[in-house]
Amino acid sequence: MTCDRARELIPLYAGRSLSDLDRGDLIAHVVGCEACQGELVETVRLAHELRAAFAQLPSLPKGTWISVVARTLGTTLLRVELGSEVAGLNLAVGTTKTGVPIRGSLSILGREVPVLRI
Amino acid sequence: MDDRELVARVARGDGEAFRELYARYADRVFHYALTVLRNRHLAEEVAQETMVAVWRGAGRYEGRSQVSTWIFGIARHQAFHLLRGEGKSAREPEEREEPDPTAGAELEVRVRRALDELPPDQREVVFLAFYAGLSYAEIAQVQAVPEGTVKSRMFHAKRKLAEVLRP
Repeated sequence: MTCDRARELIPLYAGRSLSDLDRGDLIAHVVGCEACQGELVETVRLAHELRAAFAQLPSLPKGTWISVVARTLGTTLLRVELGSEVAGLNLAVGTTKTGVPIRGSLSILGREVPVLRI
Repeated sequence: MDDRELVARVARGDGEAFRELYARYADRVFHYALTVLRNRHLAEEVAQETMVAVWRGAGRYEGRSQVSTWIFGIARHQAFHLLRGEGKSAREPEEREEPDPTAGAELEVRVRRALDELPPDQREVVFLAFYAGLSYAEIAQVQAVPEGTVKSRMFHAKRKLAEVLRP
């Protein structure tokens, strides 16, 4: 591995998104390269400080979930389930802020397949 | 249950799966939008619109990318759609989230200031790589740019941020 390639991979190592294979190759290079060792240490420290800074960001207000529910799940008015464990039909009618969604699915051997979404 | 299975269940109208997906992603999407837009109210709107779009679009998710990449991609689209609609620019935020001096050590405040001074595209790359844990290829998908552009943005962002750590 070249130093240029190592410098590309170091941020991903620090961000914990590097594949096992690339991580192994990177470590093998860094062990024998003092310059890249310094870069690795600096980037890992930077990543730590950045994560701490991002972690200080406020949380999404609880009310957002309620707004999202009103626009998506709404309230279920009617749910019908027919059939057996082998095969069946599910139909649900709900109400949201924007309409009356109807969803239907077929279940075959435990796997559900959506067939209707209005 | 992994993210892909959750999305598959959401596509079938499973409310519990959507609740779980929301729990895993809503805050991260909000933080992402806040990082890009630096406007709390707009970021809240982006988070809400993104999660509604996830619910409505779950059936179209084909599993060709990570769920996180798909969701951040939706969030980015929502953020820029919102900015266009409001006639705003990501470079000219309506308001600025100032670091809270009591929230952490001096270094942390300096890091946040340095982050704020980065161009939006670089700040976004830093967030997605270091906080959301996305690879270059995934960030390239979210930003809809070549992987080389992402690497270049990371290189320049890291060089500026690393100066903060040096005595």
